[in-house]
Amino acid sequence: MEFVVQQFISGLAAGGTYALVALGFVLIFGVLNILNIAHVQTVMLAPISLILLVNQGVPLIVAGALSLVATGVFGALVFLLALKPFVGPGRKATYLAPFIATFGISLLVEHLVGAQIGSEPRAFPVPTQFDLWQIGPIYIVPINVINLAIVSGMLVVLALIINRTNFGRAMRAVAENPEVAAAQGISVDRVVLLTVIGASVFGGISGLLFAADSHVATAFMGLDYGLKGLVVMIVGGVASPVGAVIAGLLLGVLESVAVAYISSVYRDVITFGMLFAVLILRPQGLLVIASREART
Amino acid sequence: MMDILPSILTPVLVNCIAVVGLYVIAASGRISAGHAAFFGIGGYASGLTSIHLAVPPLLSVALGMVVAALVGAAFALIADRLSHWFFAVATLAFAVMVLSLVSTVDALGGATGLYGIPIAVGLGEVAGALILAVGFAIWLDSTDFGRTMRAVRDSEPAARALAINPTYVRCIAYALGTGLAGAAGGLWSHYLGLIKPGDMSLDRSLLYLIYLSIGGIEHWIGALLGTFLLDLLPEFIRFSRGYRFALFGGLLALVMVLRPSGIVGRAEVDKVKVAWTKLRRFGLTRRSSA
Amino acid sequence: MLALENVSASYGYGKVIEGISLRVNAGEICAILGANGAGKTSILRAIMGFLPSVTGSITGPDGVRIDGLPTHQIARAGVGYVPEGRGILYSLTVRDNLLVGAMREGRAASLDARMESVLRKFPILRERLDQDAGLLSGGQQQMLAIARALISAPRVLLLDEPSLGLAPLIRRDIAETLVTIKRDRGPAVLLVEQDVKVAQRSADFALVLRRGRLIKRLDASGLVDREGLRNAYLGQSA
Repeated sequence: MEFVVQQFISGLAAGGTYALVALGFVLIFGVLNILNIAHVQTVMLAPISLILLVNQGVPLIVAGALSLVATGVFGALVFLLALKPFVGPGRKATYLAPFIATFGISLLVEHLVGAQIGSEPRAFPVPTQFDLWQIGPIYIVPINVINLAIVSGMLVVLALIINRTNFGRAMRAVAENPEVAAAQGISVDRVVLLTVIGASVFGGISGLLFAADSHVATAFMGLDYGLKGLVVMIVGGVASPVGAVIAGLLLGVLESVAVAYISSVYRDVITFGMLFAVLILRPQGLLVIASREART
Repeated sequence: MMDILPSILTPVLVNCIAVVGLYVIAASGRISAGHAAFFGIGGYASGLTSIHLAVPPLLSVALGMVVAALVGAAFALIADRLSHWFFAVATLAFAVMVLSLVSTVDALGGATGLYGIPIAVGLGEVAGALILAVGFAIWLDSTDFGRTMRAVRDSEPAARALAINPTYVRCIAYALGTGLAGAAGGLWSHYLGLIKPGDMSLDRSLLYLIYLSIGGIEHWIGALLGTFLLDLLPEFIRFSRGYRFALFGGLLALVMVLRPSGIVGRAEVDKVKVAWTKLRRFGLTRRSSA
Repeated sequence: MLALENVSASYGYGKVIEGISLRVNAGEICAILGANGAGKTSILRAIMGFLPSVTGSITGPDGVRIDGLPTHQIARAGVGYVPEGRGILYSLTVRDNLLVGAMREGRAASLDARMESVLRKFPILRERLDQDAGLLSGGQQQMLAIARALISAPRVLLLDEPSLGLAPLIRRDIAETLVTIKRDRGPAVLLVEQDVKVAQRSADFALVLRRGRLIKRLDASGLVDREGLRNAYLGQSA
């Protein structure tokens, strides 16, 4: 029984982090209407740059902040160079091309880093070793709780920004109808750029959380976690942030339970199985939001 | 040099067959980022039938093709409602799942792969198969169904207005494409005598996508051109594996930004066709007036 | 004030409007009339910077040239726009829609006062402030769209077929609203309308558009003259 609770909590923690990855995609897709595959690499870039910085003697907290800055810059560059040219009035493009380009960018980044640091997992510095906390008969791994706290905090901040601030309103306006938004004086380019940077930082933070949990980071972790984030996005209903959170938690818990009771081998099967089930049983995703036609 | 030519050329031709399959899928408006999964499914299916059912090799390759096509049709049917970005994600997730399943099932040889497949295929058979595959693609393009596929790709609402069922069209197109990949896999398994999980890796899937996108997604010539150009490149320029992928990824992004339709676009092909027709007509009038 | 001088625009092939010159002063309402496809909406879109290739000069509030500027800067220069089909942000609440409109002005300072004055003009919106805009009726959405454009006190106001698809009673409301706008603050108003009655009620003068060109100017009395109006529309000799 205690074991189930532990698994549940660690599942929630992992699931929350998946949700963060998914949210990054949801935000970018919302304002840009392009699925940016290269975004998966934000999950890898943050922990890897942190490791490299720490190895140069940079203090942990500073390295963490710098790694997030680097991730934000990466996201901005991808947008400015590969995506922005395809967006906006009067531009003609084969609509599949920017999407395929993002695959290429993802590969480029992944293998450049991989060639530099090798494909072996690198040790990720975890601040201190925490003792297990004990509540009654249940042992809780503190890192899970910290993870959950960070994720919840970020979700709250995101919700506040989206719903209560001018920028959030501008984001929602751009997501729904960029032309009308522009006619209201909103600089669509600026909103999209800031959203992309924010989403990239989200991805970076989730990467740091994944690495802190597993104590390692590899050059190829981007696609591993990123793909799960994408599946979570689809299951949650593509345009819905709330759906992404629910789907993420669900995936995390299911995975955790399956790994404990069946076999760790079937992890990927769980991911696809969930996607599969949703596609058959509730094709529009868990939550649907009325939004632009162009979406699923 | 002539000695090693088959061993260099055969893998490239096998890949060509698979990439032609990817082209068929793209012609209906879908991007598949997990195409190698069906390469593997075909390879394993035909390998198994060869080993356990003592089926003659060419028949077992055909069986592999059929199995891959059926699985592809089922997948396409379930994932149909997803718009093209998310469909691509689903193909990726599917490929990862198939890969991890195959790596762990002992009956399929686990992580080391399926050995003991009779070696019955050489450069000649593969070349013949490629000619058949290309012929099929050319024929498909000329049929009503080929045009229907393009209609669905270009504008689904317009296609629906013409009483075309996009789901049906996309599923068939996907099955045809995965069937070709499965055939390629079957040939490969009977060329090497073995097939392993590494043959259906994500890397391979993305390579196929890169070959087609750079070569020219709108035409089967693009499929061949991209595969030949990029698959043979490592033979001439020795890369370490990591930089090869980084280079290809960067190249893909560059080409997609600068020339989205790839090297061989429909415009170029049409120009060539028009020039050819003019040439022939010129020849005819010369003859008749002579 | 709004002035266009020899403005032409195209969507990439053939010109959709050509040689358009007009001038609307503050407190005036100019109606643009014409058959479907004549290019009325394109004039407004050209002013807002939505069309890729526009030639000629467009002068906005304070005599600032706005042609060639990106749309959001045109909006910030004091041009309000009520697009065809209202352009409501359906997934946002009524309040949020209005707040988005207020962004044109930038400063939050007088926001409450401006909100108040707009809500006083459109009391129906006050009741529905926290409802999703998609739940409003057609007429209410049109009011919201106009309110959203007004909340930043634009010096130029562009309206594209505000009465489209609405019941006759509501059309009258809209015409009244336009008259009130004219009386109160007095932006220069460019009104594209298919419904001549709405134009007759509110406009000071009208320009008739045919195949992308302005062919006739009608003053207030000309608007009321049915015969002359029909001739102008259908192109018979006046």
